[in-house]
Amino acid sequence: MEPIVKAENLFFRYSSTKSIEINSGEKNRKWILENINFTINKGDFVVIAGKNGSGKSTLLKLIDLLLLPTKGKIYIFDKDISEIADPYEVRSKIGFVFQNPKHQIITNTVLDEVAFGPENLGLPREIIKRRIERAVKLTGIDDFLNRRTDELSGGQKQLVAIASVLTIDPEILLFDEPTSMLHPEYHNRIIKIIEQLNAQGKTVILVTHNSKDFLIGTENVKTRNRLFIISDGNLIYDADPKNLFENYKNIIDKNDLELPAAVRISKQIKDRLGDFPVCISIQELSEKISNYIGLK
Amino acid sequence: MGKFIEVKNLTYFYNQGTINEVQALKNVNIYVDRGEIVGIVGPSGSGKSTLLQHFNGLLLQQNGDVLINGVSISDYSNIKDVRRKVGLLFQNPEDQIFEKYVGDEIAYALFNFGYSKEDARERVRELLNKVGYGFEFKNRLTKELSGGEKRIVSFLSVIAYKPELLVLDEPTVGLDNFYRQKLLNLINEWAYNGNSVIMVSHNMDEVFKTCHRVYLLNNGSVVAHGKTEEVLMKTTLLLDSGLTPPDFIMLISSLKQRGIRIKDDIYSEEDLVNYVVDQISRVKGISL
Repeated sequence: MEPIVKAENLFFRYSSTKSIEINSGEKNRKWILENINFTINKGDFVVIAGKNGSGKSTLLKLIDLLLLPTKGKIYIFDKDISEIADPYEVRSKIGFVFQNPKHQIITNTVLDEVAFGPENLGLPREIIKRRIERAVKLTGIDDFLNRRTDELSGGQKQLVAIASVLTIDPEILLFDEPTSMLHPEYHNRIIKIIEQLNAQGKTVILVTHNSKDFLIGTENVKTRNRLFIISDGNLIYDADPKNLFENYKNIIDKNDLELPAAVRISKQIKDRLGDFPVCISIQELSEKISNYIGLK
Repeated sequence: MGKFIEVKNLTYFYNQGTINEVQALKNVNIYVDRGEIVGIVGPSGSGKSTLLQHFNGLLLQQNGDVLINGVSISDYSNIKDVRRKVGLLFQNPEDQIFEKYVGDEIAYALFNFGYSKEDARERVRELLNKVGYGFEFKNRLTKELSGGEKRIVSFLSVIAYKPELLVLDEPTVGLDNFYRQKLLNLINEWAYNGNSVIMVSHNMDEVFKTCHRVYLLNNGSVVAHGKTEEVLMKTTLLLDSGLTPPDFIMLISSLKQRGIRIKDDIYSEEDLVNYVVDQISRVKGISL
């Protein structure tokens, strides 16, 4: 296993720009992230969950070198990010997809948008063309490649944002609640794309509120799927998501996480019958129920 | 009770009379009773937003009619009177917060509707206490609020002037469970006090828990309507419209596909658990 992102005793807080606060209150400012330790390996699929304001997005920004640690270390590709003189090279291997594609799309037409990244990297025309073709195919945006970006729906814009990140050919992909503002028809489509990218070997880090998404990658794709839960700036869970649903009711309650319906229903059946497996998907639950009812 | 708003045979064309003419609504009929929460669901481009904009006169009917308390919107001499009765909260309303302080943001519409400074202050106090923030919260800078807090403030700024109908476009999108629940509680309370609510949502679990009745729109027409549990049981129709039915309904449909008989009057997760436990116990010969 090859470590690709590593955090060691990582602390972060926003420093105030007002000098008066630096003198009086800086030390009392709350840590946004507190003593975080983890190692993400190449090809991992990590889902990060936690309440609004728990520090999830801050962690993504640190991994993308948009922020630097206040204390402690983050290593990306084995390099200490606080000591990288030119972050450009490292950042070109990291793709960031924001919650709201409006914050990310900058050009007038879709084609310009997907070409923007590789053109800025100064790549040869042939390579740019090939990368665009691949990204367009994966995201399925061929239909509106020549449209104006401001005419697209929210879901279409997000697909374009993903395609333009892919043309940079990053090794690490960061998604900050990429579907929470979109209609569900785009949710499923985008989740499939993310799964596919991970299956192609990309390291994926996905922030989400939706507990259904915790199980992405556990059924279709063979990955080292991990769930991080961040609570008040602390990393309190780093393990298999199934284990959380079965054994950590306190973490679920404290962080306002909703149990997936399949887990909730199968637990109720188990409580009543004494013997019933905890299932994580509706398909699995349906199969188990029919097995039990089929019992003669 | 009684109908607060009624939409009759509403039809709407964008760019009417030009070669770019697009029909957004086709003969739509909808009503909302007082105290009722009505859901409007449908895929993107089904006409939901066009319909919403008719409720407070942002768009005026080309054909058909929109009646408020039995009076056609076109008969109101001042559209402001309609807007006072119908509060509209857009998607991601926090993007439209423009006052520096929370108190001013909530009071903004109150001044437009002629509240005195004292009355506006009293109303802001009442609202901030109601959501548990306390009156001092009025001095908070709006730009420093969390996303969830901003959404609550936007909601308060609409209910501040006590509209009789609240129209909400995807009110909980992007919120975590805590704020989602908090907002849904406020919406329920608002309706419980005799006001009407129309809510567009693509979260069918939420629609199931919150709405009394549902209209399903597709291609500008109402393709299904009725009690929430009845409409959401139409799994094929929902899936065809790009909507995901609540999980327990998906489970019922999956069990039926496996040839398991499920009785027809199961309308909640609890009913389903009871039924399944009962069936399994029967097979195992255990009496509970």
